[in-house]
Amino acid sequence: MTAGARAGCLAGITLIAALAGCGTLSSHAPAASSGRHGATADGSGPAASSAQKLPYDISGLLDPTDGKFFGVEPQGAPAFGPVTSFADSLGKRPDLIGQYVAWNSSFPAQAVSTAWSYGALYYIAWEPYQTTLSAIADGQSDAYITRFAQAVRALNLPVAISFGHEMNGNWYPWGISDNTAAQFAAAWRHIHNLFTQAGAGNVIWVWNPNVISSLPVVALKPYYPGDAYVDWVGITGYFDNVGPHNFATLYGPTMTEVRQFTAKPFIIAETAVQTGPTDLREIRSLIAGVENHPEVLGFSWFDYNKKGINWQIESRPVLRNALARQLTGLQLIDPKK
Amino acid sequence: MSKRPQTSPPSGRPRPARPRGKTPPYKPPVQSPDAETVMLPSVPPDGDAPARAPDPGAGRTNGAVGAVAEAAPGVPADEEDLGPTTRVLVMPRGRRGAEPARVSQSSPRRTWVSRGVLLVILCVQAALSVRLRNTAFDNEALLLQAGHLEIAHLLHGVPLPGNYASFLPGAPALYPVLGAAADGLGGLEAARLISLVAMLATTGLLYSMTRLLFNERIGLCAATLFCVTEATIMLGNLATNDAVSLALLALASWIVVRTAAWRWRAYLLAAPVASLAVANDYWALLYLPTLAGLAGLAAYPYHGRPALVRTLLFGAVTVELFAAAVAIAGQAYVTGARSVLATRAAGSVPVLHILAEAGTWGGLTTAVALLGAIGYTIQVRNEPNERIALPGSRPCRIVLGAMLAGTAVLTVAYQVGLNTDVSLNTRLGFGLFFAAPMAGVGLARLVGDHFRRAQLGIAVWAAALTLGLSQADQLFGSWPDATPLVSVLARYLQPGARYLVEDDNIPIYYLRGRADAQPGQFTSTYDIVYRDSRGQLLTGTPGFLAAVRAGYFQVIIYNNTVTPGLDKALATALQSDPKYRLAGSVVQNATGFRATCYVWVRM
Repeated sequence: MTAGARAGCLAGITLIAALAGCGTLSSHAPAASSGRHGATADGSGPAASSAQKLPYDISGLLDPTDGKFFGVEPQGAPAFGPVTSFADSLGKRPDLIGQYVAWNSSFPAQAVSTAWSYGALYYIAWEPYQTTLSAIADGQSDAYITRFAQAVRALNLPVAISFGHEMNGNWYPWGISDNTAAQFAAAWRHIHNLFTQAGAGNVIWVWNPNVISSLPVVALKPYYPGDAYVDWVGITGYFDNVGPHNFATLYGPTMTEVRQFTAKPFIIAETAVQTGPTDLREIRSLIAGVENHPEVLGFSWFDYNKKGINWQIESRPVLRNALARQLTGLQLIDPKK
Repeated sequence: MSKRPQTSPPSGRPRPARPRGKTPPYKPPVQSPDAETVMLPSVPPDGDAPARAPDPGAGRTNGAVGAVAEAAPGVPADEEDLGPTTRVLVMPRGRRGAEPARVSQSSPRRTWVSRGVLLVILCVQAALSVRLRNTAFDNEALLLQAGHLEIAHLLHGVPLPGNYASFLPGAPALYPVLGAAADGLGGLEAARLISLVAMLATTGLLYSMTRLLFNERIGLCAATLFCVTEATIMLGNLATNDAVSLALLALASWIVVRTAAWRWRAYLLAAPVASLAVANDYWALLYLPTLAGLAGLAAYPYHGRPALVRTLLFGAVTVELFAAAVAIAGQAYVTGARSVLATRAAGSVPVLHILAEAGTWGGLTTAVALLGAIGYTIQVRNEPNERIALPGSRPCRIVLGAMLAGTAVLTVAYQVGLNTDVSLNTRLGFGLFFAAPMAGVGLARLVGDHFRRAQLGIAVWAAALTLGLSQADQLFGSWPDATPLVSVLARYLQPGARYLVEDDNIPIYYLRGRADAQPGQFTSTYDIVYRDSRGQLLTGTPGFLAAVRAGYFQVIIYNNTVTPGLDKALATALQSDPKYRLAGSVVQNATGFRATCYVWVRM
């Protein structure tokens, strides 16, 4: 072999090595493209990197008109067994699953994903225990909130979050006893802004007071952070043996007051019917009220046995059958549509 | 790989002694009676003496053969020896001026082998370019979209939304129309294919020009180095006006070299080509002095000092063409050219940073070119029987070498003068094109005669290849994939709605053709003139914020990169504005770039 031939061979080997070292001819194809305009958002699971997926478009869930939410807050969440038991007992799968998440707990991404696969929107009642509203507003929990928000963004699935529910009551640390309305609103806005900075647009923000009948002197408006920070107005109200016994009297006054400062849609975020002489009528009233009020997106059943009161529907066959009958006519939402 | 011709002298043949002293003056050839044969005067085989191989291309043109008188001893054996004083020199029939003698190295076999190697080089270059993958770069989107609008304007009289001539880097009716036509036929890939063809043509012309200036081996060395530079690889897959302008400059350069020996002023054909290159990309203006100088220097060996008039005449004709073009096109084009050559790019990048970048992207080729220029000045010999230099004096070689190699430095110097590194990585390609012939000389010198130091040459080339590949990969991946952002925006388009997008060229380009995404519906975050409800005209941040308060935009997208100050103000305004909701965010990842794109939608 001549010197020239050797040189040519060496040059060829160098070229091949260089090309091989820098990847194949197709190794730089864009990962997210499917045609010119590329990827479509399916939000089909948490496994894929959020950087490669489009943000989930939750606009269709903000004020859906094609059905109602029928939710459950199961005792034992985030375990999914209670949800299926609840659904089996009623013959109706809930499309909203709630969980109470304590402050400084991590975002339950797996539960949200499982619920979504099941066909339900996950609803997080975020409870600011072991902190104060002013501390949150002052930024002392920013790292935790940002981490939480980034996890929400990374999952890229719709999730409803209610921070400091029943803030107009005096039974929670974030309630009226130790905080002012301004502190609550400031903490809410601060959290919302941190979620915005994290790019988490896949959150439905639920501002959730208790029905005003418990403490009628507490005005709701000062607690309201503003329409820019809220998507739904949740209302907590139970049909117990001592309070109002129909939808209008239980929720009506609260809805009327809320309507004085916002037009956001309602959801009965936490409710149940206590066993009693009027329980069947209250069940009918609840379902009818949800059906007949277009501005009410649905309701969520508090399926707990707590503090001596059994709210769980599975263990009360008469009420269960009544609720099941009422639910047969209720058109539910498919959140994934 | 080349094998020495069978006619090479035996190795034991004594080489002629190199005469010392002043170079003998060039003597004009004597015209033979049949007008196809030129009797060249005797020329000693000194490095400074005219010694040029016959142009094989020209020889094939008509096959005329001349007999050349050769009085001096030491006739290289490549030439057909017709006697003690005569050798064959191929000359074209009746269209060129006097052809100075040079040592013949050409043969049909050598020519075809060289062309085969060139084909391989071009294939490698094409492979290196087309392997790059990314969505449209901002400049690509701007030029192609402008071209689509120009086509609509030219064919259908659709009014142009803006005066593109005043800010595009070249005439809107040239490359943008060409690129957009290709884009319309085959999408971005087709538009990029034009650039690939242009860059392959550039390399081919570089080879041919260098072969004419020196020989095939130097031409191949030049093409080999040029084809693996970062700028060449990038420009071959970038649908911008750069590649076409570079190809036009290469064509103009080739014309002045190819016609160097001709008596008539065929070299002036290069003037309109060069003017077209400048009209297509104003940046090319920077290289016209080199082109004019090349016209004179390439002709110097054939015509002596009168050849230098070519430099002046070429310059004068080109200036005349520019004046005519400006008179026809209008002041907007001058404004556009100024924006490219002076004001737009002016920045505050530290000089050392620019130099470091330039060194990284083009330093190796420039260094080899400088080495070649020095070697070319010192000695006009590569192989024992090879003379690579244009005949002429050493000062002539110094000027040619300095001019060609220095053009690579000129690009950097100009960018340093502007204190900017905008487009430096692609603009370097212009300078490297002119420096490449000297880089070819340098590489050939490194390799040495008979491939004596082939490993050294390969090492240099392998380094150039590795650098070019990795840098092109890095730079071509330095802008984020536009697909997610465009897809998100496409969700919220509405007829007549307005969209505020930090850099709106990309969505305008990709969403063109949609009735709800017309260019006039887009506003970038660079500037706005907004009339509020009281009729007050607002600009800048106050204008944007007033527009947001009024719900003027249906969609607002920013990523805190181009206008971070405004973006921060927008974010603050939007998060407390109930009319808007954060629809989501898109994480943008690219080489050395990471940003979060915030998408706000009016509810």
